[in-house]
Amino acid sequence: MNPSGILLVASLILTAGGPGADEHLLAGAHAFREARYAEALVEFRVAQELGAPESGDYAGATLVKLERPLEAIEAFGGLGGPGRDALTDYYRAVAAYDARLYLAADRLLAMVGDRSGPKIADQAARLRSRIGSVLAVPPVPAAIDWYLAQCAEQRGLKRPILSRAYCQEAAEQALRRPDHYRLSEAQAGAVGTLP
Amino acid sequence: MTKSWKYAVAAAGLIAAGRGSAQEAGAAAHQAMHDAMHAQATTPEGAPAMPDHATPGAMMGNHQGMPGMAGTPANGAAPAQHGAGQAAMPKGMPHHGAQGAGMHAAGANHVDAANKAAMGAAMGGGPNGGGARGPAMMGGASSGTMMGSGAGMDTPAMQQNMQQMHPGGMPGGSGGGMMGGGSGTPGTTTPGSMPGTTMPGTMTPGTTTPGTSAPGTMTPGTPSPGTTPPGTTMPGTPPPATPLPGTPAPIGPTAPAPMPGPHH
Repeated sequence: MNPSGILLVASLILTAGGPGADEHLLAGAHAFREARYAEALVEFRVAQELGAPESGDYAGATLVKLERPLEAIEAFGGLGGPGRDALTDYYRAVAAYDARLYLAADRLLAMVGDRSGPKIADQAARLRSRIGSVLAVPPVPAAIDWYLAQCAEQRGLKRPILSRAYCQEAAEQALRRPDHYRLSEAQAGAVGTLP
Repeated sequence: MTKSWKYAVAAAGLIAAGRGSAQEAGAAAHQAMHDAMHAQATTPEGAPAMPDHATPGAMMGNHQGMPGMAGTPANGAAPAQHGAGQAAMPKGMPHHGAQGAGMHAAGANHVDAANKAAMGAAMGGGPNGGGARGPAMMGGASSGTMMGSGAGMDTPAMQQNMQQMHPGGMPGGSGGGMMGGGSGTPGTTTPGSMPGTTMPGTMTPGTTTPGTSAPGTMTPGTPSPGTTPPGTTMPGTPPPATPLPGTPAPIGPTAPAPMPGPHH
């Protein structure tokens, strides 16, 4: 094949994949805006399969709206570190909040801060206020037991992102107690060294 | 410049133009989603509470909703709730459903999927085809099955799980039967808000969301001359609508798998 033929084929390949994913992204965005979240989720999943990496965050936000926080956390790829933007971080925080990962949620909401517009900043502040009321007192041992049990359960289900998130929460909650109740166990689970 | 290089330069221009337009489309999609996320951002309801029960997970809502009753083509399935946890209805995957006679037919308990299935029935069934409906389901896959009418026969449209039978219409043309496969994502459980106390399950009646059933376009069938008996409508005997539990989907993230049905 001469060079022109090669380039023509290359142009077809390069332009074939992108628009398909974009069409699904756009369809998902419209569905999301109209609160048709189940349809939006399908579109984002398809877009993800077609090679649109940002679709994971969009699917996560959609799962938050569908009140499926655990799947949302997995779609976001976990709760550590800052996300792509403040808006995504807000949705990640809501997923964490719904999953009772209050310390993780509070950390994400703190990162939203000034990076977002007034509406999201206001909502983040209100949510942090609510979380603050829960965190005003040290957790009882049973609460840490609960987080560790979630960690173990998710580990058994081969959902490492969730398992680590719950163990991380357990460890941070344990640090809020003077006796550091079950701290070492929680820390081991958070870094994935537990069997 | 040789002729082949002129072609090469032209092709490179095509590539640049194609990628440029694709980038613009992608940027527009991302901006649209960003705006949508901003518009739909809400603060979660309910006060937070630390889990403090000695038996972890005791109040996790492990109940899935009972399968909704199969609706008429205009009605979606009705989610039901019970137990302390919030029942979550699996959502069907209307996307990439089987196409029969140009319409989607996806079996799922999703309002839109049911509507699409109904539309597909109208399209695929021919003049005598009864409408099939998207059956309700719990996770797993289900299929909306419908049969096109044969020539000269009244053929009731069948629905899997047999919630109801619809008698066929007038005898006449032949319609193409089709099956639309849909896959449901697994329902998820939502933690109960008050761990530590055993609350009796309360049955909350599901709400039936009326769908909008767009009428399908009837394609006239081809009557078979001489072999068409008078049309007699076989009334279906609607059995009591009993929710048939589907096979619970496995817990865990299930990637929505488009299940294309057979194309006709």
